[in-house]
Amino acid sequence: MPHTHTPSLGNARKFYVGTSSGNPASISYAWLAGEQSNNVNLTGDPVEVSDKSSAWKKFIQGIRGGTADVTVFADDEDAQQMALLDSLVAGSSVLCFVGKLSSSTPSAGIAFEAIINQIGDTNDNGSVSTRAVSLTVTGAPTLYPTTRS
Amino acid sequence: MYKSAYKFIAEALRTTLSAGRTGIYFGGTAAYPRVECHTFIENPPQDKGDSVRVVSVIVESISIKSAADAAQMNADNLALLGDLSAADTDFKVIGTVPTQLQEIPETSDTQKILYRVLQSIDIYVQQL
Repeated sequence: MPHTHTPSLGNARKFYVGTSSGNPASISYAWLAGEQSNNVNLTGDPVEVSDKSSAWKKFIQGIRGGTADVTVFADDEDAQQMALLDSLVAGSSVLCFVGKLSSSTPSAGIAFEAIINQIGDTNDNGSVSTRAVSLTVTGAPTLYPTTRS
Repeated sequence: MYKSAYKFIAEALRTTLSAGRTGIYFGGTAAYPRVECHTFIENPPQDKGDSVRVVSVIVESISIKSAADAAQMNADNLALLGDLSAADTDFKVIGTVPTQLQEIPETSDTQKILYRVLQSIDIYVQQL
């Protein structure tokens, strides 16, 4: 039986902000309206454990982490955008999800808690104003779907 | 769900440009002086909600009297479009940006017979 592979447009993998807290599986998310693009990078630092038993280097997985970026059309009346700004000002973390939702809960993608590194507004002449948000993942992300086929 | 903004923009332009102006014909009527909106280009949405996009359009002012007459018509058009804030249940205008102006007269063998000013405009639209 051929492997089932279901690619999707970037349009369908959106950036969401948590509107509730608690158990990751029960958190509700709302789309960051006006989103143009996002990216998520998960990283793992390799730790070298080479020895003289082999001519080849050996590594084990070290500390993991991640970053995320999202760009939206700026709207100071949008609840999710203001939640991100409030979070930066207050120095608190935010709950985020990048992927596909089903009834406001994650179905496929990456959910994570993050702190905000930077929020930059761009107001160019003759263009719609945009807002770029950079985040750093804190703690372990949750990957959806949680069951593997 | 994506909807085309073409009909909304075409109607908004006609309504805005014709408001309160007498002696100027708008589209469809073979008489002068005349204003026509044409060469609409609706660009793809720039966000994942299929909402914000740019519609480029040429607003053409045509006079048989003089280049100055066509230029004045264009100036009046721009003044009206600067306040373009049309909205309906599906769309609203975010803003307008004039981008390029071309003067293209039509000539006979010996003289100019039509004075045409083509004003390109980018209209930023939000689908609601």
